[in-house]
Amino acid sequence: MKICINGTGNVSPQPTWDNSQFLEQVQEYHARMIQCLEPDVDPGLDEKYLRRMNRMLRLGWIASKICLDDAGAGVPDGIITGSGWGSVHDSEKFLLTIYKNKENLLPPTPFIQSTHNALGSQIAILLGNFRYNVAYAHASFAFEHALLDAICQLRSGEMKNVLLGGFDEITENQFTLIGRLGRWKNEPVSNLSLYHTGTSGSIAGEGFTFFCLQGEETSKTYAEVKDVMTLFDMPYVDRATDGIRSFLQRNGLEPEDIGWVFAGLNGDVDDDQVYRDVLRNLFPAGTGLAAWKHLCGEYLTASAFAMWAAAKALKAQIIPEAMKILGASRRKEINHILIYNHFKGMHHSLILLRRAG
Amino acid sequence: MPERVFITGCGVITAIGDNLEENLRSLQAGVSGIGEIRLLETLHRGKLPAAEIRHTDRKLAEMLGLPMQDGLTRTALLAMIAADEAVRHACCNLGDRWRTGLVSGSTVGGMVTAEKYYLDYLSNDTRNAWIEGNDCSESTERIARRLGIRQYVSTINTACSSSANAIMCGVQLIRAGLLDRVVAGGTDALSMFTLNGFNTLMIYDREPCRPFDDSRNGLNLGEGAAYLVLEPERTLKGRNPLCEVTGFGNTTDAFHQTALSPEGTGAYMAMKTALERSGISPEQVSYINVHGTATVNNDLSEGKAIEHLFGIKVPPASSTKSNTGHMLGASGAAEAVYSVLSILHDTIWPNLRFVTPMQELHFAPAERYIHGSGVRHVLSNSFGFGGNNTSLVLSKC
Repeated sequence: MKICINGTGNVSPQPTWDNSQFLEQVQEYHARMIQCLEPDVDPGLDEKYLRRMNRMLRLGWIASKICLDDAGAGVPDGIITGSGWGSVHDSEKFLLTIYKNKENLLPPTPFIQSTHNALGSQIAILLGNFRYNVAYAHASFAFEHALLDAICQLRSGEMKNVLLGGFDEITENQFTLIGRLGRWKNEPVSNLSLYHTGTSGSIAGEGFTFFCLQGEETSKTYAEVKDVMTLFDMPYVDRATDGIRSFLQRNGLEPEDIGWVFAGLNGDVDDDQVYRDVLRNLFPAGTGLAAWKHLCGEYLTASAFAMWAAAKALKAQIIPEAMKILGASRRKEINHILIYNHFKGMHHSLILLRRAG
Repeated sequence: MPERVFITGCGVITAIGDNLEENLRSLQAGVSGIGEIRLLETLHRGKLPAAEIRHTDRKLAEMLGLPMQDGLTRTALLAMIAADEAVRHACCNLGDRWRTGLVSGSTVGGMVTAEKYYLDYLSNDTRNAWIEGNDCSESTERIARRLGIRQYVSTINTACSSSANAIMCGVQLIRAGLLDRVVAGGTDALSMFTLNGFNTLMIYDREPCRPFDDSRNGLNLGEGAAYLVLEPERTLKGRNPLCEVTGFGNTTDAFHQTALSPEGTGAYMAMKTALERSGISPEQVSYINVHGTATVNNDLSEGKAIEHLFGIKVPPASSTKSNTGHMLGASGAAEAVYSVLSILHDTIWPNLRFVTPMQELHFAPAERYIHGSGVRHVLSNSFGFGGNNTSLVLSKC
């Protein structure tokens, strides 16, 4: 069975919510942290309801609605989400109120919305969807695990139409916390020259990216998801290289067959060196290399942004100039895109997309 | 016919016992772990009861043979104790050729420490070692590294149904042919964050909770961890499984973020789907381990859903949350372990502190310890915030 991406919705720090565009224009930031642009889209909810939703639920709902409208496939059989950080804003808000009010007279709403499944269940409530709903929460693997679940549901015939989402929100406090681990740049940089900074740290980001996955092609099909894999605790470049090679082999492919690699380069010299070492070991000269984190920033489900970009690229047969690091010289057609992401050189993930048709 | 998936080992730590044997004896003796809070730092100490495990973090680390170190959360300590036991109990060698995965549910996660050090996290570098474990996955990764599991390491957070979903997910991964063996379960430590959360929702009882009683007035939190080893036929190699996971149902109530619909639509569908998948009729269910939080809303909604599905012939049902309190992300797995014990020992656990039947329902929970009624199929319910409902069916082999 083919697993087809038949709809997308992407709310990010770029104007990605408009599915008729594809990164022709990108937003430049001079910052250490970038946040989503408010989509110029009718959320289809009344004002009163909208005001009660926090920013994460609002942006997540809008991304999922864009996706469902794009696919035109009706109410999904299942809603599967992945988020690494989860409901950051409301968790910290509830905690800070506990301190401030000395565990007394606390507004309950932030607590209610503090779990990772808050968005997935909010979407179910708004759609009146009574079916399968799971929220994956494992750090940099959360989106990949959600994708794997969606693939299993479609392959087993349990479902025909899955709404899949990857999302993370960043707040000032979350930025400060993670910054203590040395993850962000010390000074504001231009996101468009992120890969030339030569310093440690990345820029913090966020995003809400949804997909409609179905077991067959439609007139809307963007691309086919061939496979997904996670490699836990693999701090060695050669073993990560072997892992990617066997991932390609189990899909009947050699590195030469991959036209473009979308690598999770994030501007941190050490992180980027891992990508360069692994890719140099594996792929012949002439393989296209593209990056995306300068567009959305670094966050735990950033690979969802990459899957959105890869799906659009395979359909349009165009790699946006804004993403290109090294152009592919071997062939013109784009048939396979490999998305390769890693977290601190320890945990690696792979998503393989193929051109539909 | 989908591939059969068996439970070959269980591990559990709760306020009523540090391991499987102690939990079994406490269930048999009707022990309640709910009492005064002694370890958790909170202004509600002495006012709100909870089912706290009476070991300090240092003692838990000692039980694991680990030095206490910065960054090691209580959530993770509990998780490792229960996961260790599950693997020992299953007598399986995780270093063999089979592909083993880990799926763990947690909802409190690192918040148990973040709530102590959050202001330090924001203002200085003294607590940096704890920041890494701030999300839900820290405890999962600790188990994976301790047990040497690398093939698939995942965390689920669907609030109170997290670990029931972890078990469902494990069964699905085996059936999809992606893994040969899964350690599935969940963990959550008692925290000031959740204690205040449920208290401010005005669903936290100041007295020990009374599930399915007309006088019920809210839940009590507990803490704990529980893991089960799931295996298909091909990896058993002569070992006798404890029981089989024959059904699961995951649905959404799609009614409200915290409240279940009064008629229990999502709960009904979760149970119905689980029974259909296991191929048994409602009459064949020997025992229901209910979600039974003892909130006014849950027990009414769950009770109505049970009546809708079972009609006038409701099988014996009880809430072991009257023993352990509500362990949030660990509840589904701990109650699955209690369901396994129910099958193995042919026993129905009594619902503690039950006095007055609910006016709205025609059935009452099991009050007394029932032995020898021939327990074959147990339905275990876990319902969470956001209406994430999951029911499991465990069956005698």
